[in-house]
Amino acid sequence: MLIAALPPVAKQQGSPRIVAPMVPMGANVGEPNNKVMQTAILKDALKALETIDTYGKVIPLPYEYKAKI
Amino acid sequence: MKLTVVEGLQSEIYVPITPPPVFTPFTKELKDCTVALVSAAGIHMKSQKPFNLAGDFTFREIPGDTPSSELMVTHGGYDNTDVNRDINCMFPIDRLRELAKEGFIKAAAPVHIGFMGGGGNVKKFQEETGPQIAEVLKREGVDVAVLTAG
Repeated sequence: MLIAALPPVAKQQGSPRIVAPMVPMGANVGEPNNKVMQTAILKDALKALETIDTYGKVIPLPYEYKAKI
Repeated sequence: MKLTVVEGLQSEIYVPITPPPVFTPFTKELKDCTVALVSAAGIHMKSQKPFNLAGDFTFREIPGDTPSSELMVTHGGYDNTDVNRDINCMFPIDRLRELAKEGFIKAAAPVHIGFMGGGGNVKKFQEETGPQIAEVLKREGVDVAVLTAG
């Protein structure tokens, strides 16, 4: 199971199972020190194992973190 | 309209080719699974040799009981600011241990894997590094690998 910040790239590279929260590269599992968000992303990524039944599916996850650049 | 102007002419621009599908059905329940983290984000222990920023196809085995404070990142391909503040936002080792404690999964794996993606020798990654990592995970009885990359 891949937690991707760039899901189109992940799909093109052949990842069989992808979840995609709305996060920047470098914080794929969510905002730093945000335990609630990180736990939710990791849990949903694992739960998606039970629902994804074909290769190359991308499941969007409803969590958003925007890095301040 | 005829699209081919010159027969046999090839593009000079390499385009990525999506590899053939690899899909293993998931047959267990999460509460019975041992889960490992595998990250291309350049994660390694502070005591381990850092990755070569110019390209590196090696990987590091990170023992499951490693405190998150003993981990660091060597990767020149993305902004390291967030992961330097909290390694869990790329390598959620503390969160994984919490899920095991809660019983959501059976266990966090006895070993996790860090390597540096984002280029390097892709052929080596595909033919050597990837299979070697898979061997380690099999050896350690891992059911599920959660990857962070891209």
